[in-house]
Parts: sequence; structure tokens; C-alpha cells
Amino acid sequence: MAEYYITQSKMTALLKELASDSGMEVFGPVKKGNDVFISKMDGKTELCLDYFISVNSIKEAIFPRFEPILKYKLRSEGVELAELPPIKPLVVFGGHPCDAASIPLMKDLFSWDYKDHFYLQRLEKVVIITLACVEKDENCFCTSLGGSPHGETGSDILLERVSKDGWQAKIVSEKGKKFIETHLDFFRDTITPEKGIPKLQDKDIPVMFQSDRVKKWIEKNFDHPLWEEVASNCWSCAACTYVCPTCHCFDITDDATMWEGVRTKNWDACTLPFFTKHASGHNPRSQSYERYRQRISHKYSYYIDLFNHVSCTGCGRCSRVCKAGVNILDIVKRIDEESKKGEK
Amino acid sequence: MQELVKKAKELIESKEVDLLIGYQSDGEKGAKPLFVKNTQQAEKLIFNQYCLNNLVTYLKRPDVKALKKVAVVAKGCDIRSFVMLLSENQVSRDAIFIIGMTCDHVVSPDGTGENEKCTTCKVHNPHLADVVLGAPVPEKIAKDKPVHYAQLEKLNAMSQEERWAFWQEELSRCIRCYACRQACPLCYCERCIVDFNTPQWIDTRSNPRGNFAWNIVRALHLAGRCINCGECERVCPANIPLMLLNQSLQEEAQEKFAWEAGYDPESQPPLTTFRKEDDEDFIR
Repeated sequence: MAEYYITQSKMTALLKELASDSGMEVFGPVKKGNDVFISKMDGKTELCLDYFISVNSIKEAIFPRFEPILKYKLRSEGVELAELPPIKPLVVFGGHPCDAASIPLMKDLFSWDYKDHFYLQRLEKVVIITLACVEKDENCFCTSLGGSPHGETGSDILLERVSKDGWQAKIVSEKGKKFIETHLDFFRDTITPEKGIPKLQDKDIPVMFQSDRVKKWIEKNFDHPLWEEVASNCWSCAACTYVCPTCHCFDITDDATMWEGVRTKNWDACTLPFFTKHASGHNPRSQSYERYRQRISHKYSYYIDLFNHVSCTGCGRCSRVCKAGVNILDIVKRIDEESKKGEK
Repeated sequence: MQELVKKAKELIESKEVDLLIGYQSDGEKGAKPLFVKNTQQAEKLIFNQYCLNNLVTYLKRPDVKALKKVAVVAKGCDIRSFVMLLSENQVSRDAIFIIGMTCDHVVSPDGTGENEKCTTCKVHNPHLADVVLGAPVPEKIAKDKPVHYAQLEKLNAMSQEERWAFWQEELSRCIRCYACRQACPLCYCERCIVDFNTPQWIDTRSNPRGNFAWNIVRALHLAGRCINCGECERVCPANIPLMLLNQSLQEEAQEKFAWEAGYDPESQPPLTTFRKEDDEDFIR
């Protein structure tokens, strides 16, 4: 098979060219302050290619923060449905294997009891270009969940750094192959691999817990005092869930005047106090640790019952954004230890 | 920090408090909140320049409010927010034990150098506490010197159109996670304005309309109340410079009402009181 390479400047040029096309949506890494965000680009967006990991995940490219699902007008003749914005072909550049690994998980969810055609159509039209990892930090734990710093799951093209200035492009899917063939001019250079380019191996991110053992403990310990101990400092915002590549809860809101309206699918989060509040005023998850317990239990237990996979890719984003100091890896490791004790 | 651990153990052992909220270390250069319920946990307590969290924010939580007495480790700046909770009748003084820490400065949110907020601090030594720990720190600014935030100058120099463009760009990143609200010690409404949904008062979509409405409403609700702890901006995952809004309103409160929030629990915040001598040149 042919080998494909692309330089940083050609990648920038390619993304800018695609982003100038109003028929497409392109997402790439943009710097703000000390951090990088995967952001929607236009032809003028300044890309940042020198970063460890973006604050947000690639989620919002495919599952937008908000999205109209119904528009209508009231006429004397009756209700008239208005056109929704078309779902355009997408290119998403700059996630890591822990971002892309969320794609099959989310696909299972959005094609489960109801086929969410907004998500599924975007998924059909997206090309996901992933950067294999060259760096890690103490929050990374993809290998504990079957992932890898150079994993291909969910990507269409995987870029592996071979020189300071460029990557080798690995075709992962048919969509990826088609993308490279269509834009072959950008992938023609041959880059001689340089020595000393860092490459992260699986063993560089040691496995830190066993997820099946974690699940077993969660199933039996809903009322365990550990939950309160590890998550009482959670102050119940949605930062962790909104940067998470696999958190997928949404709310439906209506915005209407007398004669027209729009119904919107809108991100929501189990960590927010209002999420489970009943009309009566009762809240079955009234305390912050109870809400955080839900977040962990959903990912590490309930989701497995439904889809046979942990709904976490080990990207560590939730821990990085949490300024209340709630750290998912610490908590899951603690649970694993408790579970081990129970096995003896 | 033996003093702190000793005091904490004393409070827990004597059952004077049901819970103590303090700091524990989080890596070499970091600290995070710690909930202490027994003497063993108290061993982990620390206090240093990495203790950025304003722990007073936990006092607004229903489960914490339900306790008989709670101790909280607080810097002077954090105590200013406690003073606001007192003057707004949100906490009972007897239900809280303040362990005031003297503090020269804390680090900036990115961990490099002195935090900007410390350069305008007038309470390096706690002004209201049940016990003060740490060596006294010389105050650098006189109590009656009006506040001025240098970073506002750039914003104020912009034309209206430039400011509009600036905020459009900044607020476009808001994902409506409400970390600002949850971290804020003074955002204590049992039902937030964004949670009024029959009908929806504030657009919950993170579109320009929703994001402007949310962030401006929050800033206005904090007018004359914000004590410049900077937590909203620090916890914002989208790096939005929220303190520009809050500081701008702090300067307004200073200019219009000669008011700085959080120093005197006996005084009344300008927006909750009426004084005949207030000039009303803003009513035209």
C-alpha cells in the first residue's frame, strides 16, 4: 500500500481551504490563553498545532452544544414546518485516539432505541483525522480501558508524527481513503522519519485498574460511604460532562413566539442540580456526591449492561477542567482497590 | 501547618463542628478542597500559596447548611464573601467557625507568579475570623483607597463596536456548564434564573443570545456584591475573562456608592438598601 505523508503547513493549508468552502464544516485546534480548543473554523482561523491535548473533545463537532430539531410557523391554514439547516460534510482535525474512541460508543447510544438521525447523519458525513499521542500527563489512562495512545478506533485517518514538521498518514477507513485520494496533492510529500521524535507506546501509560472489577463493586455499593468521601468536594457544575467525549445527555427546549417556534436539542448534565429535579420540588439526587455517583456509575456500570463497553475513554479531560479537585482516575482506582479487598 | 492541623483536630474532637472544610495538597504545585470529618482526615490539611479555591462557596450548599456547625479555612479575600453572605442573611454567624489564614499572596491560576487579585488585596490579614493562624502580613493598600483594576483600561479604551466584537468572540466559547455559578460563593439562589423554564426566562442554548443573556445577567446579579475572588474566571473551562465584567461593576459600585463589598458585615449593600443622599444622576 502506498505511504502518505503530510507536512504541518500543508495540513494547515488544506484545512483552511476546506473551511473556506461554505458547503463544509471544519473543526480544528485553536489556542486561547494557555489552552487549545477544538473549534469551528473559517478560512481565517489561526490554527495551533503545538499542543498536548485540547480542553474540549471532538464531541461538539458531531453532537453540537445545541441544535434545532424542529422549526415551525403557524398560519391561518395550519402548522407549517420550516426547513432545518442542512447537515454538511464535516472534517474534524486535532483529536487524539481517546477522542476518536468515543465514536463507536456514542454511535451505539444514538442508534439504540431511537435512531437519532442528526447524530447518525453527521457521523456518516464526518472525516475524523486523529493525532497519535506524543505526550501524556498524570490524568491519561486510555490503556486501562482498552485504548492506546496510537489507537485507530473511531478515526478515519491517524496521523503519526515522523518529523518536527510532519506526519505519516495512516488510512483507517474507506472514508479516510477517499479523503486522501481527493486531496492527494497535500499528501504527496515524502518525509524521511527523523530520529528523536517522541512516540508514545502503550506501556508508557500503564494500566491502572480493572474495569470489570470496578463494575462489580459499583453494582453492590450504591450506598457505600466512599461516594461521599471522594466526591463531596464536587460543586455540581457541568464542566466535566461537557468536555467529556462520551457524556451525551441532552434536554429539549422550546423557543416560541405566537406565530413561530424552534425546538432545540441542548446539552444537559447529570451533575447539574436541576437535572433530576421533579415538578413536585423533590430531587432524587439532591446532593452533589449523589450526582457524581451517577456520572461514574453510568459510565462504569449501567452503560456496560446496555452496550457492553465502559463509557469512558480515559482521556482525563474531566479531571483537568475540575477546579474543585474531583479526579476520575483517583476515584476509579479507589473503587478498584475496594473491590480487590472485597475479593479476598 | 501544625497549628492548622492541631486546631482542626481540636474542633473535630470536641465535636464543636460537624464538618471542617479546608485544603489538601494536589500534586507538588497544587491544592484542592478537603472535607474533614475525623482527626485522621485532619492530618492532610495544608495551607500555602496554591490554596486558590474560595471554600466559602460550600457554605451555600443545602447539605452543608443543614449541619449544626461547620468550620471553614479562609483567606481574607474568601472572608469578604462570607461577610456578604452574613449581610444578606444567608448564613448564621453562630453556625460557622472561620479559621482565618494570613496570606501574603496566592499564585495565579496558571501557577506562575503572584495572582493578579492579590495586588489589590486589603485583607492579607483576616478581618473577621474565630481564630487567625499564620504570621501577620503587612497590608500594602489603605482601606479607604478606591479600587482600580488596570486590566479594565484596555476594555474601556475600546469603541462600543470593538467591545461588542470582543465580547461576541469571548462569549462564543461559553458552553453553559455553569461552573462560574457553582464556584461562586454569592450565586446561592435555590433556583437560578436559567432554571426557570415555564416559560424559559433565559435561553439555555449556548448561542450568542443565550450566552450574552446568561453572562450579563450573572454579572448584574453580582453588582455591588462581587468581592473579586476570581473563582468564576479561574474555573471557567472556556477561559472567558469573566472578571472584566465583575470588576467593571465593582468600579461602578465604588464610584456611585463609595462601596466595596465584603469588609463590614454591619453595612448594607447598595442594591439592597435606599439612602436619600445617594445621587441619582443615573435616573434621567
